[in-house]
Amino acid sequence: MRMSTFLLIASAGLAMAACGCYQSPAAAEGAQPPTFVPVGPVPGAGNAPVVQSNPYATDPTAMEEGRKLFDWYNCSGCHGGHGGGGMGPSLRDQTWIYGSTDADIFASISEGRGKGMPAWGLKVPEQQIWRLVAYIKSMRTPEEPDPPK
Amino acid sequence: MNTMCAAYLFTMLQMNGSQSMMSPVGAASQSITTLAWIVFGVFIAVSVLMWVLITWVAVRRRGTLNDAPPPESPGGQSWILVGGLMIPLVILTVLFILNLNVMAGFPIHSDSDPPPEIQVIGHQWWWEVQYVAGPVSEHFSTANEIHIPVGRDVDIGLTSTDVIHSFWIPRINGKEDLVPGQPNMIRIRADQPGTYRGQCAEYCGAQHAHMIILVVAQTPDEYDAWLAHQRLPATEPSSDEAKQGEQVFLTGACALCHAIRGTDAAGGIAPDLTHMASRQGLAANTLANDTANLEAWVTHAQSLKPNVIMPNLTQYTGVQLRDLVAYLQQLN
Amino acid sequence: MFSRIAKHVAVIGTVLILSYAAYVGIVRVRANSAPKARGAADPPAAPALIKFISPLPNGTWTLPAGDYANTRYSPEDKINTQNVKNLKLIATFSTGITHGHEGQPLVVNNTMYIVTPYPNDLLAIDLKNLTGPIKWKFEPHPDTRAQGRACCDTVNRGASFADGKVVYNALDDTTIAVDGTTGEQVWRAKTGDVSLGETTTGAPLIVKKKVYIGNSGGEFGVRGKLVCLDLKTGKELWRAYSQGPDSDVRIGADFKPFYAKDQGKDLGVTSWEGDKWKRGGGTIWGWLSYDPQTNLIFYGTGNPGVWDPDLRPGDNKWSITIFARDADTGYARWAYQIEPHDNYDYDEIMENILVDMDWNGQPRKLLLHPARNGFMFVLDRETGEVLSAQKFVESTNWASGYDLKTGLPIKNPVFSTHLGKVASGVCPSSTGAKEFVPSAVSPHTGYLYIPAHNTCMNYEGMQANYIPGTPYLGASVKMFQGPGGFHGELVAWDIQNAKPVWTIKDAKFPVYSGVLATAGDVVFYGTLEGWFRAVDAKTGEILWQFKTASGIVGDPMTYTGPDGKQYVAIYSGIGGWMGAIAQPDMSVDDPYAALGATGAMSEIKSYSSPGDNVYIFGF
Repeated sequence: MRMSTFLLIASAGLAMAACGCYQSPAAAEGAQPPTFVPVGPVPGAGNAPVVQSNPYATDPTAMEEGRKLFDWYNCSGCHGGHGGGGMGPSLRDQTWIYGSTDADIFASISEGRGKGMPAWGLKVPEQQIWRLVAYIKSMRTPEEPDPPK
Repeated sequence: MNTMCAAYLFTMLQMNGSQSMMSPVGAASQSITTLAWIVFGVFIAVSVLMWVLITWVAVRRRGTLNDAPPPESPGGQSWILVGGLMIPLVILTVLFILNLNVMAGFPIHSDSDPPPEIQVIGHQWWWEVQYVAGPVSEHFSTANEIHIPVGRDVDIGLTSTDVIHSFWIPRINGKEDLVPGQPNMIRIRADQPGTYRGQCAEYCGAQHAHMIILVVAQTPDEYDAWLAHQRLPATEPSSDEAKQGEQVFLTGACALCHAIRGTDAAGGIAPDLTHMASRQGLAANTLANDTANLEAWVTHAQSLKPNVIMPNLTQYTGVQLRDLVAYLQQLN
Repeated sequence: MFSRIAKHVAVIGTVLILSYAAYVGIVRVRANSAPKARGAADPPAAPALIKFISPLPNGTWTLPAGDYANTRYSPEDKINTQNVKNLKLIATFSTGITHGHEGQPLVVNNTMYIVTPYPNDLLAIDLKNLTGPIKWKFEPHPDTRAQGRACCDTVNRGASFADGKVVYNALDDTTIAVDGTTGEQVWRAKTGDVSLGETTTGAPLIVKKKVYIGNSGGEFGVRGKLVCLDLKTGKELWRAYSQGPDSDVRIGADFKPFYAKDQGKDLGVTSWEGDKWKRGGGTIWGWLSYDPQTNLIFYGTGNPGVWDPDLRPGDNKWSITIFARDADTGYARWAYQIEPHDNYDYDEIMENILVDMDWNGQPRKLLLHPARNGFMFVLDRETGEVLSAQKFVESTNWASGYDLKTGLPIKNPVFSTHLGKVASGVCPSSTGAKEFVPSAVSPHTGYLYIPAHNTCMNYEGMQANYIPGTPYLGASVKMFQGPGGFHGELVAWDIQNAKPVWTIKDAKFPVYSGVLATAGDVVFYGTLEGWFRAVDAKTGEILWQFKTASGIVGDPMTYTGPDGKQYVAIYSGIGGWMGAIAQPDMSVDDPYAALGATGAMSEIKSYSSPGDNVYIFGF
């Protein structure tokens, strides 16, 4: 191959590689925003991001497993034996500081919260968190496994 | 019926290996095996007699009832009384007494004094084994594998945390249930060193068939050495891989449920892993304890043993998984 | 014949007279000397001669308990049984934080110092200008994540004042010294780790030039410790753990526990299985007292890590232990473990009141400890010998008494707690026959005034995972009111005779406030419904009461105002373990919530809402 062709190809290759490495600020601004599960209202008009719903929403076995996980991961220690509150707020009532949808509760468990709620999502698999959400949502309904008496 | 039982026992005769009740290693299982042979012998004898009689009747009397009406047998009823009632009664009574004799050889009082030196707690679907002899600071917990010294009685306390399981090491003993809330006790004794396999003998859920326990009988010296070693905290990792693996273990999901003495991991609901590499199997002895199985178990436990509590930890791949497994494998 | 009749008459007569004499001597005299029923207004017996061993607060209140010996007694007598009915409200403030207001204000240099619950602001109030602005407010901004680690509300039990500095603990394991005049921080020391679940809710004690602080977090498996800081700089001088090898526990050659069960080497390790002592609990979140004559600090330790006892076989030393330590070096002089292998979360961090008194005719140096487990302990504070341990709440059933020779409780096996088993109707509950709320002693009457509870529980042991920073419990507990038709009582306990003299019963709620005794023979305490009461120290008659805005979980104190008059101050803001059920984010349909306390306090929301007030009463 002639030297000039080689140099042309090599520089083209380098330029392509450089484009790949260098992220222009414009390109960065066009990237996906970091928040997928909004807790507050979404500013501006337009569509809110699609929020995942609980794959175990009506599954009684998942609620039972969630009940066991609630004890094993010491949720009951802070939130009360059956979620009635203690060091952490009650999960049985209708007051939800960070939102009451399945995705909101998932986010609270997964991300943790400022006053001491640990970020379980760094350690616990997603399926287990959804089971916990299923159990929490079942409280005070006829489907609640092992209701308090 | 007799024939079926005889056939069954004949099949059992063929079983060899670590879980056969026909190769006993202790006095207790020997008494069961002896009883099995006696019953087998009696069944064979009765079966042969019955077949001979049936054959004789089938061959001797030929023709219609008109040609050869059944004779008026003057002592007909006594045949029924003696052959049908008295002889079976005697045979069965003798067998029953022999049976009671064997059963009496198993002490099952739950408040023995001194208390049992080993506690086995059944879980779905693994065996928690606690050694509770001696001063409290020397007690420790392991899983799915019991070591005992040969030649002496060992008392084992049995209970369960969830459903009824049953403890059965065929070469050593008969079955005894692990009942939640009811502490039972079994006394076992092995007279020869070796590894004896047992399985849960009471249906306890989806993985009942995969709940295997090993009893390793060792000479007293080996047993003492094993005991002393198990009492030590976990070995410190020396290679870089193992050190990284320890960090993966402690900062990840593992430490939430498992315990390794000597580290900050002190979970209580899963098997104690302090000396897991010294055990022969994984997942209640359904898998051999080697690298490939360990990697598979950590990442895809649900595929290997569906519905166990251990989740699929698919987030561990590549270098991280290799390091984690390297750490676990040096926990001798 | 007549002589025979006479003889018979004489014999019969003699027999009759002798029988009657015997009857009088044996039956009637015994009946007269039998103890009278509770609540009867007995004429007060001649009071035992009680000597107080440390200077009493006179006009000021610079320590959490007023004095080193934790007597909570004031020699002020301008408020007395005759005029207390005229007591009126002088001033009231809001702290702005509607969580449990435990503890008490300090008063020194005509300034009142108030530590609020989290975020633990320090307020300085000018007593010369009660209706004017506050002098200053110091805001330490502790770590917000500490809030989720406070087992029993984000409370604070007060400050100590010495050398011109107000020293107190913020919730996130920082001890702060603030200049009492300017409100500027002098120093700040960090002594623990919130990420392990460790917090500090107790009040520090300042003795000479040293600050002593304990920590909280027994429910998280945190290792309890007493830390000694230098008053001037905040530098840590030493720390003594509640478990571990003797070097951690600061046990040395001069350690002489009285009972054989507490003697031995490295018991803080050998009485635990494996390395479980590293999650051993034994936190020190209650009151510290000090004896200037022997230079010893006295305190008790809390429950061992993990509530389920089967998960921690062994005696679990040194949880649930009263320690006597040298105030300078921190080395233990003696220790007495009140309940080996705790089954019930009976923290014994209650006050240890130091008095000198005659006991069985001999003058002795005593330590009075009304225990959470329902027994009133009288110890010899020089040796740690138990002189008496009598029930002060009748429903106590976990043990029938204490064997004074061995120091061990005589336990009732029916009520032991185990993994996988529910122990029903155990009394007292984990909140105790008495919580941390402090009692007071009066030398005039010889009585100890104990704020007592009548709560029982069901306790189920369960498997537990230790996950640092999360609760390490393994128990499902449900509490409820005990038998007898009352839930709380203020008990006047005759120390010398080890029995109650009078009680004021509360039908619905336990008595969750501290007590103040004064030389005017008036005893002050508060109820969870918000009543602040003054009662006659001798008879228990309620002389005056005032309904404050919220339930009272703080401790009354008294001081002399700038005008020379006597004032009494109290916090009114419900909270704490049992009081926090009144908070809006607690649900009463789960009796197992709040570590079981919800079951016993299901009606509290109708009687008290959260509050944030300080009340000052006077004439």
